[in-house]
Amino acid sequence: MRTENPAFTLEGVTLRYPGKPNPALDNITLSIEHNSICGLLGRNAAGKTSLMSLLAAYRKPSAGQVKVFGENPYENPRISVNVVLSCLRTDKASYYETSKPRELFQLASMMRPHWDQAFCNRLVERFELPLKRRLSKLSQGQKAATSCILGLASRAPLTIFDEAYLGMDAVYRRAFVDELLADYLEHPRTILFSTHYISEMERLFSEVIIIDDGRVLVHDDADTLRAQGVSVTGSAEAVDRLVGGRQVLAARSLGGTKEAVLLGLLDERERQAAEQAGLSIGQPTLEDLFIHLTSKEGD
Amino acid sequence: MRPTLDNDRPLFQQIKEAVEEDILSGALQPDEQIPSNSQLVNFYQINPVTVHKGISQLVDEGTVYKKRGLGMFVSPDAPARLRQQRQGGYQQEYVQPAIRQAKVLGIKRQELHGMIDENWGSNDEN
Repeated sequence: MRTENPAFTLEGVTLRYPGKPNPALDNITLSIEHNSICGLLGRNAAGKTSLMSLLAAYRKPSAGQVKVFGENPYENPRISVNVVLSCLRTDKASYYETSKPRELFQLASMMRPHWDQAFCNRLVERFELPLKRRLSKLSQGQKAATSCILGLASRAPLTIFDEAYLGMDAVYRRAFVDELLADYLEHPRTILFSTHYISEMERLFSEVIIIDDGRVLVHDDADTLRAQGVSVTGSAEAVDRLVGGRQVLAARSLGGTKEAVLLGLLDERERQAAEQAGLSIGQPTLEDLFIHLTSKEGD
Repeated sequence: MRPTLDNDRPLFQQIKEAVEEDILSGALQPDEQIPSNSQLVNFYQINPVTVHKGISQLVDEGTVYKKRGLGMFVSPDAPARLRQQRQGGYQQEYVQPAIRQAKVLGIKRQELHGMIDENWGSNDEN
């Protein structure tokens, strides 16, 4: 996918961890458009967090070049104040765990040039977050709320959410998306978003990156991706007849009814045949495509 | 506005159709302001680019017009034009499936005629 005004670019980026035979990121070249909301999808250990940590300058690539807003972000305070990485930290002994939300927000308000305290306060109220309790004493959902608030209220030009809302219940996840969209409209910024809840979040994305085993499998805008396939539903017999020898991404059936997701579109003749046979035609979801592209034999 | 979007068609197209349906039903009147892009984004919880794409097509087709600084408004001729446009697809989209289903269920041609008459309403010749 071509980008005209990239928020960040990676060129031939490889990241190796000491003692690991395979690189976490393997020669990645990628850029995303300024002010897009981009979904970063991948299975566990695909390299999502590694990629995000390079952008947030937590690490240096083993090879290749990372540029954020045109500059190398590593040990570059001009860039790092403008990049926020919101994730659910799991290292139990860290400074983070012994801090209280109030302290983390105070720190962010000093570090982040675009921090909005009023917005932060409103979010604290909406997520009913206790400000004066240590993070180690908070529930998973409250910890997630803390990192989401840090990510939102920082209003960083590059905002990264790495599974930030993991552990939040459905009501709070919905509230988070609500707040994210409303604030994005007022203050557009580049948002990179990793999630395993693909079907819940896919409508949020303008573009999507799918990575697997440290490589980029797909990078395209979300509409274009969904338009690469077609789903047909109806009587199993009619669906099978239509499918013929085409590549099937996913299929499920119940009794005599079958749904098949195909790669590629139907031509006019096929479309008419489908309508004649009473089949309903739809689009695959990003989740269908994701599962097809990233499942391995034996899954 | 339709309450939710589905996975059948591109989302931007469904945004466009949602506005068109409100114009056809009269929920949105000629020269009335349509919901803003941000209202649509928040209502459907979808990407702003998607909403923008749907609304831009409405502008390109002349269904809505822009008043600088105010927003988008329904074009005076939009209801008539949309009605004509949709009538073209009516057979394919509604009549043909109804007939197909009637055949599946063993409903006879005469019975289907009867159902149409019955549901049309006796005081309403139009």
